[in-house]
Amino acid sequence: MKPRKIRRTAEGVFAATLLVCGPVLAVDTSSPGLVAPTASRFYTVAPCRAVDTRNAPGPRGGPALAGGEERIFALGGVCNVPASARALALNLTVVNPTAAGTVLLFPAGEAIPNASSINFPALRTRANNVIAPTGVSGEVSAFFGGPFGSSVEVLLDVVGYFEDPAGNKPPVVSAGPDATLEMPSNVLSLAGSFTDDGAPAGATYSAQWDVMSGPAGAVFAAPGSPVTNVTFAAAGTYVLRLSVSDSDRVGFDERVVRVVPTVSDASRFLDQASFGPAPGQAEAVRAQGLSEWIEEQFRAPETGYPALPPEPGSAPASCRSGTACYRDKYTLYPLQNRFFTNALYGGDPLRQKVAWALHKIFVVSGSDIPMPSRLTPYLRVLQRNAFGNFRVLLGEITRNAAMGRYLDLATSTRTSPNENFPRELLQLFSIGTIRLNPDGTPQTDANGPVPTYDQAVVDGFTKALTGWSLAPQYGSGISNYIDPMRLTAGNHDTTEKLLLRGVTLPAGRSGEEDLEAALDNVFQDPNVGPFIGAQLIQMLVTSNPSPAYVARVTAAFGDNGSGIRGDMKAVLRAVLLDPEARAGAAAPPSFGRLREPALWLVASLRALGARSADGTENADGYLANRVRPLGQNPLRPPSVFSYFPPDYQAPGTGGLLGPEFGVFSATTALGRANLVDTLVYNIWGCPVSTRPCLRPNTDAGNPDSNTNGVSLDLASLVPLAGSTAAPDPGPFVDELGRRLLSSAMTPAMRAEVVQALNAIAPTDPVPPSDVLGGKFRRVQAAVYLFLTASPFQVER
Amino acid sequence: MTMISRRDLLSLGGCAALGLFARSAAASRLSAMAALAAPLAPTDYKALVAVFLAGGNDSNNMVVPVTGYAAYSAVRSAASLAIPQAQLLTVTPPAMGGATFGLHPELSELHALWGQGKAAVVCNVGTLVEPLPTRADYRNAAKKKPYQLFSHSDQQGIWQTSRADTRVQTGWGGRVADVLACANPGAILPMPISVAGINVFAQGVATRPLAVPDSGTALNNVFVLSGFGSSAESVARRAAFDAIRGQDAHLPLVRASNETLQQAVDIAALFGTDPTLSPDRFSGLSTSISRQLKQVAKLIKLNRDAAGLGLNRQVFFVQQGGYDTHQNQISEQAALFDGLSRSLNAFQLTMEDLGYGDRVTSFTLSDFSRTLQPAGSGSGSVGTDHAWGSHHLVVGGAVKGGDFYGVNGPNGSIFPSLVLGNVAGTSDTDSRGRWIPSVAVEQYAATLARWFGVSDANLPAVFPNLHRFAPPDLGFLNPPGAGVPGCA
Repeated sequence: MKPRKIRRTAEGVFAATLLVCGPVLAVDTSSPGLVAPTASRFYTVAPCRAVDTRNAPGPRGGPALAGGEERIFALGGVCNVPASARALALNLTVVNPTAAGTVLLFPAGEAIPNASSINFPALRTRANNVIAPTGVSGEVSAFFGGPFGSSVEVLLDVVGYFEDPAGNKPPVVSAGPDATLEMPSNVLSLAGSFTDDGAPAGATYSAQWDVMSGPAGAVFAAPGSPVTNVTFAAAGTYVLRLSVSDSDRVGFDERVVRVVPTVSDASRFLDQASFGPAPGQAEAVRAQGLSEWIEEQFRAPETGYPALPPEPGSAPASCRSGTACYRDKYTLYPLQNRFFTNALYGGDPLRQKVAWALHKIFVVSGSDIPMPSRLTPYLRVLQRNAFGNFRVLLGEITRNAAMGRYLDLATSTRTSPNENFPRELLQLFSIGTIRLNPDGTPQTDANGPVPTYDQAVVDGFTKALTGWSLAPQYGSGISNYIDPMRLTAGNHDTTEKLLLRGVTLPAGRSGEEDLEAALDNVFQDPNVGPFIGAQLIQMLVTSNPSPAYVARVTAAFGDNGSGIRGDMKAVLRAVLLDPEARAGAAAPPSFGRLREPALWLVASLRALGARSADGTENADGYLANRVRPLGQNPLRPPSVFSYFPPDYQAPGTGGLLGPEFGVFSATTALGRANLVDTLVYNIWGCPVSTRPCLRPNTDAGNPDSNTNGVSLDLASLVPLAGSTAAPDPGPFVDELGRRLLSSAMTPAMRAEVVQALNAIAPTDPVPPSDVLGGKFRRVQAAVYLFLTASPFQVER
Repeated sequence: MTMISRRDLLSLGGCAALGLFARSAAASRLSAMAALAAPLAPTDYKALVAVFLAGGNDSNNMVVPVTGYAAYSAVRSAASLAIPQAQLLTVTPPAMGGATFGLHPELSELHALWGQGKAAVVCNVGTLVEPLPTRADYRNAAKKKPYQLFSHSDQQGIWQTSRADTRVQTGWGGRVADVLACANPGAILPMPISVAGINVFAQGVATRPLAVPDSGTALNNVFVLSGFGSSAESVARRAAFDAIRGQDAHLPLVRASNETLQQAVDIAALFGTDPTLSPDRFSGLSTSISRQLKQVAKLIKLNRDAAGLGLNRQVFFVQQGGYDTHQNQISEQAALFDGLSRSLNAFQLTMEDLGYGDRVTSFTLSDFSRTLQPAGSGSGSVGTDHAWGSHHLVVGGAVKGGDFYGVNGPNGSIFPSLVLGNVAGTSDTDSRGRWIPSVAVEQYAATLARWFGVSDANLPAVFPNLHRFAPPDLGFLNPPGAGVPGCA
């Protein structure tokens, strides 16, 4: 936006309020930008090394600059250069770059320019003289435009500086105090102000508000006025900057505004970003803030799938089928249990939710790799990289042994190439079959949708990825699924390969070089952002995102704000804090997603206090047998195409996507209702203190046995269910609406549940004929109706 | 058997005003009551049973030339991927002019059905947008090719939709059901039923298929809504359960969930008994495909006998997985074929027991065939990669069995040459033995659909690209006879 020019009205000091009062405000429309800078004077200094990244870590020392990294060096006061210096005369030296690239020097706080300060090949030392303008307080930003994973050492030697002889100082700006808003209140008054030294002569002043960080959707009423209003579309933490120019120099100040979500939004957010709200959790996350919760989750330690020692591929005689040993080492039983306990009780739910989403994209199925010791390294790749970089994830998944076995890369050689993995790498793991616009819509030409690749490209990737096999085994019959696969050079096809977008890999390169180059080629494809981004939106938030939402996530995939592509943290912030995800009641009717069977059951259990039915506190997670008949066997999808296709259309909706409807049939819909019936009404086999329950069973050797059982904490709801003195079940129904429907229960549904509960007198138990009591039966009836209701099947 | 009670009917009728079904709820419920009032029996029954060999069946080892075995052996023997000639179950199809072929040794039951004239092979069928008679046509950029050849999900989709030119959300089984809905007037039960989960094959424009589990679940346990009794509390809860299902019609995903559950509640009222097959031809079989086909047989019997059913046309979908044999193909495919052959035979015998031996036709589908050239090396590691045209099996009393069907390829035969690469007369896309199909999926499907009763006037609606291929009917089924009762 073009800054507005403000004519100076009084010597030195300017009251911000004046700036918006019409008569004293003159807008200069003759010049499109700031006036030409005044002349500066050059001063020499004795050559002096100001920055050397080879030194110990520090503000002007190490570490080396990483590819895609921008770093700010504060040079004011260093090497006899005053803080008021406007530009530095530097000798810029790059040492030992691991890859070819460019380094750019520019004023701190400004956007990365297009012009480079030095260009260099890999592994060479190069130097260049640079005049580097500084930021407000003498800071210089350095950006390394090199590939992800590369690094370069940077040396800055100062030989002189420029300074404004008039000594003009930038305006001193106040953006106002930090503030907190509580949704639904979402408009904040801004009263910015500034003072200035009056220089340069004839200065005109312009102001500009900008959002430096925060969710999309903050709108200033008058971005050029220090005094204005800002409206926030979504909860989150925003950094707002007020910049003021005196036509020569720019001063700024920032304020932090926290916009606290509604409880309803926090509850909805927990459905999206975790496995559903536990009692009281929505209130706590509301107070904490959504972005703060996300950042906390980014820091939380991995707890999902602990590393396991290797085991022989054939069960030894001491570990026969039918024993607990066999169950734990040769079946999916412990991992499926772990999936559920992670989801129910884990301290890193965002990581586990994202890892679950990644599992549904980068499928390895326990149908082929059932041994926990072999599948766990794969699951650890997913959880380790859930908040990492997508390029690193691609590399680790490609070399993962379980994946190598599942899609046969581990046996693909120069003479017997196997295109299974390379094809799915393109089709399912990165770009899909149709060329996409950044907003996820398909590109079409006269022949229809534009394909992303053809068989020749699949052949090229197949050749590029030949030669990998499992690392040396740990012992006879103990295959190595823990270490990444190793290359056998003689098995690698060294001929030329055609990759995506017409890129050709020259002949004669090593298998490692070809693998990295092939994955770089995939990673840089413009389809990755919309293809992976749209699926993450579908898996976390809504089946039918708007193109604009997909485009915002694609942008975050392309650039995390620091020029880095593929930063999953940036992608997840964009997915979860997008105004469309946070719209709540304002969301379109098509918003939301059908809960898939495993997550539907977990959300039910979390909202109602899942515990073990054998009296211990936490359930053991043996629930896979309960969701398998509902169309989803966790960690054991039927094929590489996962549990359901991302483009499955919800029936009768005129073409809306509903991937999870792929496993939602009349049979499984009925199965959900009947599982709720068991969960809420079964008391057979349950200890008195934990009934009703999915009953315990201690046949430990049988993987189809339910070892400890699972129980809902319905007893804690009994006091809420009304009493003879106060029989109205309405407040209790409202409480369930808060817990299970993110406070979005309709009056019509409330009326139906209330009517059903009114048929049950809220009595206490009268043994032996009435062992549970009317209050308890009210709780059962209400929970049954909520958990079977379609507004709960569809989170929105 | 459990009859629908009067109270249930009243509750169904009471719900009808809520308009839950895309197809008029009131109409379907009224018809349910009408059906109970006057039970129908099928008057002109026919069923199609699609058997999907998921993963891409290597049909090169399903039907092997005995005359000319050397060409096959030359490519496959060295890697131990060839079926030894002595083990093949020989057939001499009249269409092949005296040449002898062999079925895979594990297909012995199908070989017996072949001898009875109840099984046929359709050669080199595959996904096509337009005819590609030669390798040069395939390599001609101006000729349209199916999208994403050799990709599982896409090619499975094309076999099920019959549309190789574009992705569509309806399958040809569902579209057949759309145009023949007139054959099952007033039916609550959909014409298509999948015993292998939900898939696009049976999705129509107006037809939503039913998915039921295999025979491991008794039919009267397939659709049971548990936990409701006759107490006042239970009746009140049920009323709320039914009413909530009618709410939120303005939210499409919530409505889709509601309609799916509503379908289950409606059908629960119809599935009251678990038919007994006597004799049980599936006795001793334990594979997934045997349980699926047994469930289909029980559904057919239930439809024949139960009040409120009596559909004249049914379409079934079953699936046998595991054919993606990139590795260890010899043993894995043999086990799969053994299960397939026994199950199809038991199913055909059951149909004959039910008096439907010539009214039910089973046929295979598969993603694609596999490269004639082996993939991988080492013990247990030899398999094959994704390819294209494949041979298919058709079983039933209406089949003109004991013969091969197809369209001549560049070698002047309906059976492709097994010589690899760019050699005159071969139809290899490259050099690994990926046969360009000489028969389009649409021709294969249209032959089945015509027998089933789809009129020639309706064929273009079901198979929009059929007009590009000749002939539209491959002739492997007896003529359809008179029109379908109830349909114009």
